[in-house]
Amino acid sequence: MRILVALLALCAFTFAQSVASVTPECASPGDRILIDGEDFGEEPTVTIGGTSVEVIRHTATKILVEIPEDLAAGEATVDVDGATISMEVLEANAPLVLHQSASTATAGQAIILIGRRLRNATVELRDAEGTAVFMTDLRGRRRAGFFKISDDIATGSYDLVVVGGAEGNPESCARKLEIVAAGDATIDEATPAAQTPGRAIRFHGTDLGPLGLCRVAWTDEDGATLRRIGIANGYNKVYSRVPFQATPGATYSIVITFNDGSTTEAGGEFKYEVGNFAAPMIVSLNPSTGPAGDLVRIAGTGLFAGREIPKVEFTQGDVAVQARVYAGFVALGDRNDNLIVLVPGDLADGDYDVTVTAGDQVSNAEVFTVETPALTVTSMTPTRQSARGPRRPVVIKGSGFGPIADIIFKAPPAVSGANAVFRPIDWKLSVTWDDGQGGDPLEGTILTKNDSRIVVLTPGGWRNPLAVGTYTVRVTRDPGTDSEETVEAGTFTVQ
Amino acid sequence: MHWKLSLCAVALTAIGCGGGTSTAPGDSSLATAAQEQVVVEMDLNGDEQPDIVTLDTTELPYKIVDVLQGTATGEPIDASDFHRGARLDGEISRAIADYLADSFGVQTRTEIDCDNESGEPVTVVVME
Repeated sequence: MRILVALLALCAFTFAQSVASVTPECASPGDRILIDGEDFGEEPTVTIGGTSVEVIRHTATKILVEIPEDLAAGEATVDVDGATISMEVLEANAPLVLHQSASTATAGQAIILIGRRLRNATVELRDAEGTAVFMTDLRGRRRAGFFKISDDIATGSYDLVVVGGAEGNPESCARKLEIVAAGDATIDEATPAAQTPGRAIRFHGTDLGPLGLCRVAWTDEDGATLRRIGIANGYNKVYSRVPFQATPGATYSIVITFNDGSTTEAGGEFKYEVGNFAAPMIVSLNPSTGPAGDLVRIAGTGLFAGREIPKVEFTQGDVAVQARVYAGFVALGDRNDNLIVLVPGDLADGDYDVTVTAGDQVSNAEVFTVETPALTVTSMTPTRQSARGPRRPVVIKGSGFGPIADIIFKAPPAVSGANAVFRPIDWKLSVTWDDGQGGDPLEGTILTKNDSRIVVLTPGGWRNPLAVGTYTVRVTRDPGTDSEETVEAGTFTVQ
Repeated sequence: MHWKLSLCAVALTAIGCGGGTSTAPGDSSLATAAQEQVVVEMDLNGDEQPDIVTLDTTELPYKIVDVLQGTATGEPIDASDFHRGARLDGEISRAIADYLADSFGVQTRTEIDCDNESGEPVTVVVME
């Protein structure tokens, strides 16, 4: 008996649960809460407001449970094997705020709320007496919404309460929001560090506003100033770019001037060292195989060094041929830079090393295979027409009728016009009708074509239709590399 | 990273701790719907502004429910009607699912670093 009592005492000592907190401190029936504590043991039992609840998952220090559906609003005790803590149970449809984008803000600032049941809700800022001094609709949806603090609200501490649109207008718990006066605009930090010319930069600080366009002045040690436009978010960020003309490795003093005339000068001097260009690196060629005259998209990093258009070369042995750069854009963030280039039209079939030179640095080489597709015809319809003329154009199907790629540029290109569609060099293509009498074959009018389909109107069309007889139809292509090629498409009868 | 989380889920399930998807007995439809959604902060449209995205987690890949699109002015735009029903990147969906399988997150912000289907690194902040 003594041993049993001793063992029970030992167990009690070993598994002496304690509950430190419940998150969130208030929630509605059906919401999940996390109980933090110690020594919860292997199979903890939990009650909320006296109702037993299922443990969704747990560890020795955490238990995840759900508030019972039928629990009444009000204070409730959370009990884990005898260890207790209090929480507030809200009404069933009350908004629940789990995240608030800022707890300190200035007048006019936007605040984002994330939680549950936020749709059709209103937001109230209440003073110490509980009087709502500001009220506005929460714009957004069920799980996330935002509101803008009025421009004329007084500084001070407020309770932020979300009032739901459901019957009875149930309220969320109060959260704190401190309204502070706008002070001197100050730059604390710029990210990323050592950004290179032409690329995006973000200034972080305080009172960076009012929101809207601003001017960012970059002054070097000799007093020469470069200027860029920026966008201020009205409180703590300015988005801009390092000037293209900035010198890599040089240090600049930054001053931002906002659209109300205020500047960051009073907040103290901020200096930034411009980064040096890294060597360009090609990540991919798309496509990596195609005919001369095709378009290729080169994706990679550091493909641009300032405003200079990078040089792209296709090299085989000792011979390097420069490709024409159609367009390109400098990537935002961690994405890849892009270049659209034309495979030089006079390249013979074979493998070529593609390199990009930006600044004075040359990238790695990626292989592009120039491969002229075989010219073939698999079908031709119709194969006859009446002496009065064609009823419809002739459709010839096959392969090798022209380069494949059409590249549609949706991002704003740095090198060429925005939202452009780029097409490869058009090969010379002809479709002829030969009556076998020794005269020159007659050429049809190509209406449309792509790499595998030609739509062609027979020679003479409706006005001067082909004479009665039997013709041999041929397709001839000339990619512009002295390699004209002809293939027979079939026999065509006019009767 | 992901396989570590998956192994963790298996381990938790094996010892009876309830890894994997959770159940919510007796939920009202509203509460059930809430558990089947997760809110994440990520750059959905590539403009370097964090967007607040509500995701439907009932099947992989996740589908977009609502979007508060971040803007440079700090005041978001409700772009839900434009994005609703669109499929989230499969790799990002799987990374979030791996995390949620064992999550104790309530009122937490958790950064998940993963690669998207194109192999590009992406950071997603799960806001529970």
